[in-house]
Amino acid sequence: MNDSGESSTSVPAFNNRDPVYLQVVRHFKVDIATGKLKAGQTIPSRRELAARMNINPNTAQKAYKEMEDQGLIVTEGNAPSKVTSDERVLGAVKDELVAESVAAFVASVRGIGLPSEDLLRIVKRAYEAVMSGDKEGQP
Amino acid sequence: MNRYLKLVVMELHRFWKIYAALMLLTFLSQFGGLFLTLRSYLTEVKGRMYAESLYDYAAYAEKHGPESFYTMTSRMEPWFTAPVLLCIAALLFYVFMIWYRDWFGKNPFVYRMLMLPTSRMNLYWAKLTAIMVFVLGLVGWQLVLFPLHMALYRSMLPAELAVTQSVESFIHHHSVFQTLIPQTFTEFVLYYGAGLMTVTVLFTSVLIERSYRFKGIAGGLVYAAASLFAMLAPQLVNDGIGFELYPWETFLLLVVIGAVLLALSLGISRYLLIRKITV
Amino acid sequence: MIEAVRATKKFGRKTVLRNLSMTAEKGQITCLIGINGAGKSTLLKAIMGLTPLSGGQIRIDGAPIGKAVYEKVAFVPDTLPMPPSMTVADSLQFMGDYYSNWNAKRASDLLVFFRLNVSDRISSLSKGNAAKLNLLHGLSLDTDYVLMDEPFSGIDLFSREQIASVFTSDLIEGRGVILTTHEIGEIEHLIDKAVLLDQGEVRREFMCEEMRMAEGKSVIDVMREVYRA
Repeated sequence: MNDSGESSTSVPAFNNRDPVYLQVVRHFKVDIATGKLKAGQTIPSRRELAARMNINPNTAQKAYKEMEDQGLIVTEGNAPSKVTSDERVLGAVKDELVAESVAAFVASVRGIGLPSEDLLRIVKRAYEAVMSGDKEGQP
Repeated sequence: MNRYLKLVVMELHRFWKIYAALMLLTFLSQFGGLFLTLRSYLTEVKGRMYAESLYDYAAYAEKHGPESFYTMTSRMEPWFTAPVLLCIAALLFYVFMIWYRDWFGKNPFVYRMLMLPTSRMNLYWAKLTAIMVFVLGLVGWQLVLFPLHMALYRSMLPAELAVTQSVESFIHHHSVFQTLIPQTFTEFVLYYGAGLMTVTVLFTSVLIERSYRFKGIAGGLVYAAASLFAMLAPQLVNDGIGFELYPWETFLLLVVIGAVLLALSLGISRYLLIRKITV
Repeated sequence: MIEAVRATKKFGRKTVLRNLSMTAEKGQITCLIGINGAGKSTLLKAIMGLTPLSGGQIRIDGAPIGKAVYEKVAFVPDTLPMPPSMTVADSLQFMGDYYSNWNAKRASDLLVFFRLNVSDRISSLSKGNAAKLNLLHGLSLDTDYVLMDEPFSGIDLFSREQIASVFTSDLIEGRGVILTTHEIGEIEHLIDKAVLLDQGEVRREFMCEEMRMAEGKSVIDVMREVYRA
């Protein structure tokens, strides 16, 4: 029942086979790692999140509990929850996501069997092209 | 206002259009019929006066006699009694419809009715009350109409031709009205008590049908037939077995049987509404 | 908690519920899933005392059903049970008249949210609007439980979305919800617990997140297993 349109978190497309609350947690991690959510930033209430993501409030609750347990967000008293300012945790989120993606990448190119220097060169070129493209694209 | 009264008001409200139509119809049929009858009677009187060279109404009255309000109404049957019989038939039909209408339609109201946070017997009492109010209301309406009709009778007829008759004596002589409007309080209690009992028996039959559906149709019919048989039993004993009962014994027996049927109907209805009814 | 304990229901020779036992907790959304005729609606009606069981029993917070149920559990059937001549406003008045736990404030909020017109007659409402008004009647009662029979069935996409948003809101927070559906599709993420019915029997009863966690299966995966077997 919440119509507020502007949001710092977009609506993710969930898959039905992984626990929804873990998908929510992962969604937050991505937003934190990509800077959409900044250290110390207030995040939507559990109820707003449920409405925005079309999930049931219990699931939202569970996701927040998980994020609190992992130290991603902090809640003091009745104040709204905030993204942690703990650089160690934030850094770990980036490392974790990168490690996850690299693992997936490695798994998929493994069969091709390129020497690692060649592979790294290709990755480097592609990565730099994308990054410079991003910069030119900005006004 | 408690929930029972609210339900009564709602039941009255749900039928008021048809009810008002019945009242209007009764009025139009009786009043209009009487008006036309009186007019044609006067034409007839004048015709005869001319033919028989009678110079005034007094002379006519002397020769042919005046006509009472009662004879006027009997001249205009069925316009006078038919609407009354129609009202009775409509109410009898509504004894069934007051229940069935809740189940009918694409949005059956019975879901809501049975889910009201009140004893389901309140639904029952409200429907029973509504039926009794409808009956008494129509009788009352008729009692309002009689003086009106009589006023029409007196105003249209020349004094020489009119006969003064009281409403009571008219009712007392009329075959239908003498039952509908009893002269004594005891009769009133007996007649309307019997009517009330009949309605509860019919309600019970409906609820048996609504609870057991297909099998319930047979059950409902059996219950109604058994009740009728019970009420006829004293008479059957008298006629059939030749076991003579004094009239007051028969009467007392009828009252007792009626009371037992009333209690039984209420008990069965209560059980069905609370335990067996199905949407 | 709402419990069905070995509930059996027969219509003549046909058995609609067969020794059916299940539970629905307060604070959770429990979804009864099954094809038409699986016994979903009959189970809801039996819980509400709208049809008698042939065997077994229903318990609500440990107590058997009685008239107190109607202030504790709200039922939204698959039709809007109001006389066609009533207006939307009349129907709200009616609810407020009879239910001591009627929440008029919430009713008027929902009226705005669902964009319903108070002067419309029940008989003139579209299917979607009738479903919304029906839901409004049920949700505006301050009850511990809400039962809904096919709240998404046969209505347009936008109405469906509006109704789905009810499940993610504070309207049902803390309450126990049982809803029925014959297709889980778009509401898979909304529910806590799934009860798969087939021919009047419970074939599977599980918590959705636990199922995803432990077996990596979606509700639809489990349905495939159960109904294809």
